[in-house]
Amino acid sequence: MQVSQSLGTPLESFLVSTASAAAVSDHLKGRTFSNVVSLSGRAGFHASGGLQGFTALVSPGGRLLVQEPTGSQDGLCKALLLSGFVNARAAQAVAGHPTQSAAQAEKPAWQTGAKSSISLRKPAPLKLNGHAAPAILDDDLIDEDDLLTEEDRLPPPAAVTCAPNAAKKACKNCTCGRAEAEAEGKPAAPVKLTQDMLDNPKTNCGSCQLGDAFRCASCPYRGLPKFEMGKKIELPNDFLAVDA
Amino acid sequence: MQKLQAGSLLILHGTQSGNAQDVAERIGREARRRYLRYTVKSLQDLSTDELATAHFAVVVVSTTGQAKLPASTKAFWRSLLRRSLAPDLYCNLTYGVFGLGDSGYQNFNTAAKKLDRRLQALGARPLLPKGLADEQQPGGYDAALDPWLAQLWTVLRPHFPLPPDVPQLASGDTSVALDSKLCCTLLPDITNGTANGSHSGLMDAAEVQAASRAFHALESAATSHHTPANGPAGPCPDSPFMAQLLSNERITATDHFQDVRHLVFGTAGSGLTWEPGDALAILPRQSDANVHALLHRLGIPAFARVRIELPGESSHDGQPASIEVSAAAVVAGVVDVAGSSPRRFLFEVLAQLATEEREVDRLQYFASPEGRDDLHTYNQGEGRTLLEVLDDFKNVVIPLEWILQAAPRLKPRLFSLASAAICHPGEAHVCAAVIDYQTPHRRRKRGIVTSWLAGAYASQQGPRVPIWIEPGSMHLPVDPGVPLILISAGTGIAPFRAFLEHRHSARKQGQEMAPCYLYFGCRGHAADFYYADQWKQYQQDGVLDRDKGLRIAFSRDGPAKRYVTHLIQEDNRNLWQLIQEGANIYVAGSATKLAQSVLTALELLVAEAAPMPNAAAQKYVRQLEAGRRYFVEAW
Repeated sequence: MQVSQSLGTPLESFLVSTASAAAVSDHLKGRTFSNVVSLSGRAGFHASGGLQGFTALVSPGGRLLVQEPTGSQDGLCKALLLSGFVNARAAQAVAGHPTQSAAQAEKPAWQTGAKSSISLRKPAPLKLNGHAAPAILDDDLIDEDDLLTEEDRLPPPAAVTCAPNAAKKACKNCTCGRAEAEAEGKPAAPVKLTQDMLDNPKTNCGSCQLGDAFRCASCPYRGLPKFEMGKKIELPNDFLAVDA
Repeated sequence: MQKLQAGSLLILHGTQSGNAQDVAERIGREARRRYLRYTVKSLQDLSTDELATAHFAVVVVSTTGQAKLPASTKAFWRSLLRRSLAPDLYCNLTYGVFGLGDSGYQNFNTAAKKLDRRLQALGARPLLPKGLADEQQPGGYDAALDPWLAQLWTVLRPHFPLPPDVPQLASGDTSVALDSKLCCTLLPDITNGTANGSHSGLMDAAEVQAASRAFHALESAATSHHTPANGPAGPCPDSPFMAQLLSNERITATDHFQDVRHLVFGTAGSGLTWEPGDALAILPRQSDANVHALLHRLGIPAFARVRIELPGESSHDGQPASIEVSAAAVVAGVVDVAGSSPRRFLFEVLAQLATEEREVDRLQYFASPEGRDDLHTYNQGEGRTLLEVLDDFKNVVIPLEWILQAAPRLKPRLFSLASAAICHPGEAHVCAAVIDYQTPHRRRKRGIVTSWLAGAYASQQGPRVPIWIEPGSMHLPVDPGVPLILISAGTGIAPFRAFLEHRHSARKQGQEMAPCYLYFGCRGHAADFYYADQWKQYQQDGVLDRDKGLRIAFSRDGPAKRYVTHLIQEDNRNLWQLIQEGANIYVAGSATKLAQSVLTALELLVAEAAPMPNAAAQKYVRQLEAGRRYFVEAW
């Protein structure tokens, strides 16, 4: 009770021992405690050899307080450190034993056998165009290929090839026959360009001469530059040739 | 750590080339129209802890070539994969994932799939099934985005009820309210037309870079994305090295249809170093004529200077809130004037600015979901440039600030380095095929960088080329005792030349090296068997295994077409033995043709030579990839 009060901890996870660690842990069969107090009437009891057994009794992050009739708190602290405890410091001797010295320390929070990976990869080199690679630690990443199913890997449906008459709009006042074909729901047959049409271009719809931007899909003048009505259109030589 | 606003939508993007960011910004605009509070943020600027404070989030993520998440998301993704994260970390988070992918590559949209699974494993609840866009679909990624967004707004609405007097927007409404993040003011011309530099109009490369740097710093201030305080060391996108072109040699036969160049850049004094497998980034030079054509179209005088500022901001954090630059310089350094096609957002902006009836009509059509496919045919399908679009819609008056926000940005082109730095001090080699093709409407398109360089003179007086190094995704193993199996076709051989030069050099210095095995597919011995003499020399020297180290497949030389996959099949026993001895496998070349066929061939090889059942063989090859023994660089 007194000890508990002086340590400021609840009684639950508390062990007070006056025997050797080995004997105690045998008896307790592998249990650990977050607060362990070891009191001894024998100086030198808590030499690092004697402390070894207490390592197993203290839970990770837990506290150990040792007390014995020695003049040296420093010696106790050192012994604690050598046994693998951390943050060893002088402690108030439990009341009633003024000739005794006490020291306390904590057991590190990580378990024996804990693993932590060290990134051995060289950091990404500075990119040649000067944009530095971002410093992302080589944290454990999932395999991104696992995100794809078999179905995802299938090729998509084949792209519909562009039908020249896929466009739907005939000009107002159409004269090339497209409007009639559209009205009948039939695909419009492109009107063939003739030399005569090049020498004396004529159109009633008013769109053909404005250039490709305004021509419908079946316009015979597609590909040709803008022209003036009745004025001969100059062409590259092979324009009228059938596609090879 | 910033606590995110309660009752708002967090829109996150993991972008590689800007597409995911573009989508995230679109989602933001649509959220705004629906009176939702929102924040758009890059995953680069987000921590996993910060995400735990969010209640509603949408994540847009691109899957790049080899199924890895984009480089910008690497730190966040690694952090998210930590085993130590609690399974209820995101129990307060309801989310949606939208993936941008390309079915031309193996591993379609795997980034989005993995992210979706991982978030759920950490307790987050999906609002709706993930959206998976395919660049190969007609209409591009917008085809998948439009219906997914319509669904998103429907499921989100109960969580963000509208004030009673505000009308509900139709779910398919994609119209935009134009809200400019920048303000451009033309500065008065105090020089009476005799501005810095001559009237010849040639722009100073240093001025262009300075303007570009200043503009990007201004933009970073707006998005509070932190750029490194001291600036990065060495050449980088904001401060490239201006390299001289030392050599420009065509290495395909003159009668061969493809023009492929071996280019040598001078790197002396640049501080540039690289590992074999890294890439050279080249910023295209835009012609003065094109830049001035754009300025003319915008109604800006050729020598004008402009002030660009963030509206309503005063300077904070030491970052500028306004800059003053030459209009020509900022356009030349930032805007892709005559190269990449604009995105749909530009058409939405033009639709709002247009006044001429026909143009309004057509632009509104292009900006709508109904017109999306037609837009794609006209725009991306034909490789339409910004200049061409603005010329086609010549009556629209567009302020410069909208060009800076909605037009395509000038981007570098990447080329695998074809030389080892130690073998050619002061030089960087590149093997580049000149891009030259016909569009579906028979318009001729040429690659900006490749056609510029192909015509460039290699001399003191020649052009200086802005370059820097971008890290690659495959590198030599540290252990020289690892045998290498190198499989490539066409210009895919470039990184392997760097690999082999490096090994050759180490060997000459007395280091013991395991042999390498080079598999190369091309059309013909005379036509395009690149660096033939060098490989034969390496075989004699033992860098390539003397017996089986050089295996070439010519597809057009003989009566039968031979491909590297045939060679892999023929050598399956030897290759299996090498794999068991710990060899690394590297594949480089065109995405659609080479990478997929080689993967299939390797799976077959393992199944036959081991032997093991097909499913086990496939798993084995996947494990090689996961174990960093099988690398693919595809383009």
